[in-house]
Amino acid sequence: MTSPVAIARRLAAAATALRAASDDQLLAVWNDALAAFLDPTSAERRQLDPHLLQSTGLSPAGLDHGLRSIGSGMLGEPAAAELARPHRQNEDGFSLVVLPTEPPGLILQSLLPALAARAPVLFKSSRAEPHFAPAFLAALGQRLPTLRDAYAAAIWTGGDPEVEAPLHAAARLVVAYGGEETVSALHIAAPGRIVTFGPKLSLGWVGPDADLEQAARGMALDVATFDQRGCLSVQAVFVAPAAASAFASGLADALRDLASELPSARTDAPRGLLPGRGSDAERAGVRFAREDADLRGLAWHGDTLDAGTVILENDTRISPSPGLRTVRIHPAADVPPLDDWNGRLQGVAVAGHLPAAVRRAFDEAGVSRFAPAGALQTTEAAWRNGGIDLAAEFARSANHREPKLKRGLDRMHERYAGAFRRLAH
Amino acid sequence: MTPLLQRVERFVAAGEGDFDELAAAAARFGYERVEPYRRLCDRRGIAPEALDDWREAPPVPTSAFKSLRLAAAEPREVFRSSGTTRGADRRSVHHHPYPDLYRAAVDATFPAACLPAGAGRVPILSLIPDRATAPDSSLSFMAAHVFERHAAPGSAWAVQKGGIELDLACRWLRAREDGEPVLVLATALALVLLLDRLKGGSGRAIRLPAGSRVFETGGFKGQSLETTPDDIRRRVRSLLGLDREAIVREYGMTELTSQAYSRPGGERLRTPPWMPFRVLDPGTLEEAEDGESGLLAFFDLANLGSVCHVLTEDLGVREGDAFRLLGRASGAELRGCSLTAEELGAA
Repeated sequence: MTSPVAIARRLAAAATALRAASDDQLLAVWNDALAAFLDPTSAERRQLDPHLLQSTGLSPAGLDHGLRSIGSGMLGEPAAAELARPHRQNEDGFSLVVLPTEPPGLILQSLLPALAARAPVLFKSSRAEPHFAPAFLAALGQRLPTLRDAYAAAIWTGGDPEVEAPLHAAARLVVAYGGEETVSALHIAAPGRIVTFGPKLSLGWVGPDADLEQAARGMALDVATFDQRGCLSVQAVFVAPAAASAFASGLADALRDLASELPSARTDAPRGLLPGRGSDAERAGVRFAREDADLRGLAWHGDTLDAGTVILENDTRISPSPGLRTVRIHPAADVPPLDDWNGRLQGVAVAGHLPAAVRRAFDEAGVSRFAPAGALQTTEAAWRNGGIDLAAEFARSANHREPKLKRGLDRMHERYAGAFRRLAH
Repeated sequence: MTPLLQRVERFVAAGEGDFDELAAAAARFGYERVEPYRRLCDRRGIAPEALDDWREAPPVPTSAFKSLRLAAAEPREVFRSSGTTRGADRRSVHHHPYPDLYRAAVDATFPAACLPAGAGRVPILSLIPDRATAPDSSLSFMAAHVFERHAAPGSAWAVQKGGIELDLACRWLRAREDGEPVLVLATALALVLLLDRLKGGSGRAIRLPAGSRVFETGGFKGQSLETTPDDIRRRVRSLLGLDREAIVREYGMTELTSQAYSRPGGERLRTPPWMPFRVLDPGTLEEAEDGESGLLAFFDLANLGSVCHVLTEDLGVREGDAFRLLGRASGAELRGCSLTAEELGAA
């Protein structure tokens, strides 16, 4: 098996040929490949789906809906507009993108900007979901051999210094999705040349003028897409106080209805500790949340643990969902307290009027996407995850990045300060 | 002091009395004195007389300590968790009216589990903050009591407000290589930091006297440190000169008064007689079959001052009279487009 370092070397050498590819060439290849991957009857999907269903545990309908949510906004005109942007990598070299385990298909969000910037990339696939990235890259490579030389996916054990040290040292840019510790460790390993997407959650907002039935249906879709495993999955909803109880009830109904149209994890998926498969950890988390609600005297709706849970909270403080379509409803008429969540909020699904002050508070907390309820997870090519313009980042010269030493020291300080805070129980 | 408290203290200290009877009395005590608990029982139609079997007493999720005051009497100590869960600076708060019962529980378990055999007072190095540094930490309360009871002259606290004093810790350990066996108190995280320092330092590895012990607590609380228990054992051997039997793991939390311990070098955790554990099926909250994983619940008599029956966010599996920790229930930490295979333990 070729080592990741050798692959990276090959990719770096392909930069010149990649720069020669025209926008039209790339657009044609991208559209053709992506259309095939969004069509469950295509040869590519027929080959891929059994593996993806196994690795993700999603139901066939859930997988298809999820992939369309990520990819459909990247076809045609939106993709053309992205590819026509002016950012270009004008030097040799490769970038490294560390992909998350879930949701599947997330490679599309970094691959299109990389193509636009003509930036060769080595993608580190997740061991738990190793199928989508290499399959999609192979499809591109079959359609345009230049891309076969410039993009590759590989798997290795994260944190292995023998593999990663030379990669981090040589990469023009490291883009990484990961937990907080992983992200901190990468900032130390590749200071100044890294873009990270840490863990985030998304919220809903239901104004007093919202059509509650429509809002519930839309919000249920934003909860259920990818079985609530993505950063754009809604985990908590702020609702005008007078409507909170009715909305909670309506959302529970909508989740129940959606369970047949968009079933949650396959019942034959292997159970275990991995999230997203009706796992022990998720089921335990939902049970725990329900018991907690009972003790606090909160109303909640839900049947079996896997079928969705809606908890009607009595204050505005949010907390992460345990998964399995568990949503907390927080009565809120005004700006909710978001300080704890600065930098950890991704999107807001909106139904009804969103007051300017609330919108500003979400903006200041780092929310990078607002969409009508039901459309939050259906992303467009022009969406900048976390407000980060990846095409510009890929294109930026390696010499114009933040001073390495300062950023590395800042991150190290952050890491050890955090570690100390966690010392005592 | 209530008669029930006296009886519980005697059970903890000397094993006098009948656990089931005391547990039933403790559950009723909680029903009478802890209003949120009474409301929970009432809502579920559980009458006080049904609490004759402690298993019928509804367990209180540890998260309740973040939002409710669960105190059966005026607290004399208030312990707060470190608040690792994002979103909340809602830290768990344990209002503790009976700190002497806490001390009794420590006295009845810690020496046998952690001290070198036959030891009286031993030199102790603590990588756990002292009470001045962390006045509301239950772990610091426990460590302070251990110091008071068992520390020989020259014992040291190697944590200040600014962090762990790793240089001091290394010097202290090095100075005791030729002496009597020592005890090191540490969270898993602190131990890793110490081992990192020893590995990175220029000096030779330390060889602690045979019979020395390392008390390790806290796990990693969901953190993805680049290490494993086996890795820690290997590094303790190579950097401190102690074999795996020197390491005793402790399982405790702010919300519980008592602790579970592994045997030296072991992984499985055992609870004391006044804190039976159960592994509960998340779907039913009934006891899981042996070998099946579930949520860990404890009935801790020493929690008489708050609520005795506690449902944790930890997943475990019963193995005979002990349990093995498997992980945490989902929801304790934030995720979303972020988990890597390595963080999931799938690598």
